[in-house]
Amino acid sequence: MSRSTLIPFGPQHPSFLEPLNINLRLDEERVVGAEINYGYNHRGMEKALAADFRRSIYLCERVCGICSFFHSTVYCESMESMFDVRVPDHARYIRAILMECQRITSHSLALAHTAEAMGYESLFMQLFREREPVMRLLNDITGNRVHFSMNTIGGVRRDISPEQRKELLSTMDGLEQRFSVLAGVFRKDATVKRRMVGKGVLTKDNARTYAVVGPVGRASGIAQDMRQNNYQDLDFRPIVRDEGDSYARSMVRVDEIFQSIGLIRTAIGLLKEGPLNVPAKGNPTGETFARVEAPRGELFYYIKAMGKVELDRVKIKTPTIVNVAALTAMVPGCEMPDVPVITVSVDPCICCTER
Amino acid sequence: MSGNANSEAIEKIRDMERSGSMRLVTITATDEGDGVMELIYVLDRKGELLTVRSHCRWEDELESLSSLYKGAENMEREIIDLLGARFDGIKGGLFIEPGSGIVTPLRKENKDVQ
Repeated sequence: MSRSTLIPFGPQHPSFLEPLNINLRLDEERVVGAEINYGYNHRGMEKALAADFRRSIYLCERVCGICSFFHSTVYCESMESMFDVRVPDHARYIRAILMECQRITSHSLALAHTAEAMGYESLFMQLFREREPVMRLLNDITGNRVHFSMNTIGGVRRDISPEQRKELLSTMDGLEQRFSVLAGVFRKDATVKRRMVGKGVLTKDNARTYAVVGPVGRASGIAQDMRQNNYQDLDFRPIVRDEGDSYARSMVRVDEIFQSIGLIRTAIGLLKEGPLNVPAKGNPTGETFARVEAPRGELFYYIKAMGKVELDRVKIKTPTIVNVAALTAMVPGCEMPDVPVITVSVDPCICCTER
Repeated sequence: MSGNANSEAIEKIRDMERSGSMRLVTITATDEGDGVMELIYVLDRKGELLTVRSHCRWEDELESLSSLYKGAENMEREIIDLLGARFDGIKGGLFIEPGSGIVTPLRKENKDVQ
């Protein structure tokens, strides 16, 4: 009779960017069980965010460094719903452009780390090289590489100038061309396929029961993307695959990068001169639920306010809290050396989750 | 149906799940004051947000939704840590170390605790 071994994988591990622990139960090299632990860095931001609704735009953008603009957008959308203000179309498209730019940087980072976890260092470096022009462009447009400070309750604070629009289009053209070569590696390379195809499968039923979202859900056949509601005028259709393995999760991200490039082009074409924001006066009252499609999936904010500067409750639900839990269904049956690639293919963001 | 304070809400979610195309978005808890907590189960049906609410007392032993959605377990563990609710068969210790000096930081009585 074989004896199982318990291996603590993390919280400090070379393939994880942030502290995450997976207690693996192994039978020889085969994983037979897993328990996920995190919570090493909880910052209590929900409590801090409730202190003053006017200052919370600044703070909520700092929940995460990779999807910062999504946090401020969904927070502002929550407030706009409470103040009953309609954001001008011009500002809506600027938000869409910046969200899609940040999705490109996030997905290329996720793919790069997947390549690194596979030991494919050159692919990792090339993906980071292609990410950099988008980061610089965001810096030029917003004045910041990571925390843009573009959002305000009622719209955005700055416009994208005609020169910057041209620069955006030219950067997207170059990115599309160069990224096609790197996407070809994911599509054709035998090593990439051997490390990912059929590994860490999450079935559609398991995807439902773990309530996973984003590319993890769409790679398992769940055809849901919040952009279906938010981008109705941008002709958006979600990218969905059925395999549910690490390869499918990565390929959803590869295809979504091209989709984001297309959405940015469409949104630039729809930009018309007009007001950037509308004023929201007084203090918020009532409760609101808002959500956007962040790079890792549905980002949800619940806010309850009682007509004061202080908010009664701010609740943030990030995609990783559900996606990372599904690892307990993905890793059993796989070999121990596959665990880093499977985990990174989920693209966990502990920073968001431990807000 | 078991006799927990939130059993009616859980049963309602089971009925909704049977009708198909449901997804659990999150579980939110808020301190309503006077020892009462409001649990809000947020669900999605084909892009539409639906809520199921339940009012419970802090000392109530609540029924877990994890038998229906495994993804609910971490959401409930979070509520245990941050608000001090009790869910049947679910342990806290996800975000706050058991035995640490920080206890139920999101309760109104702990408003000024940093």
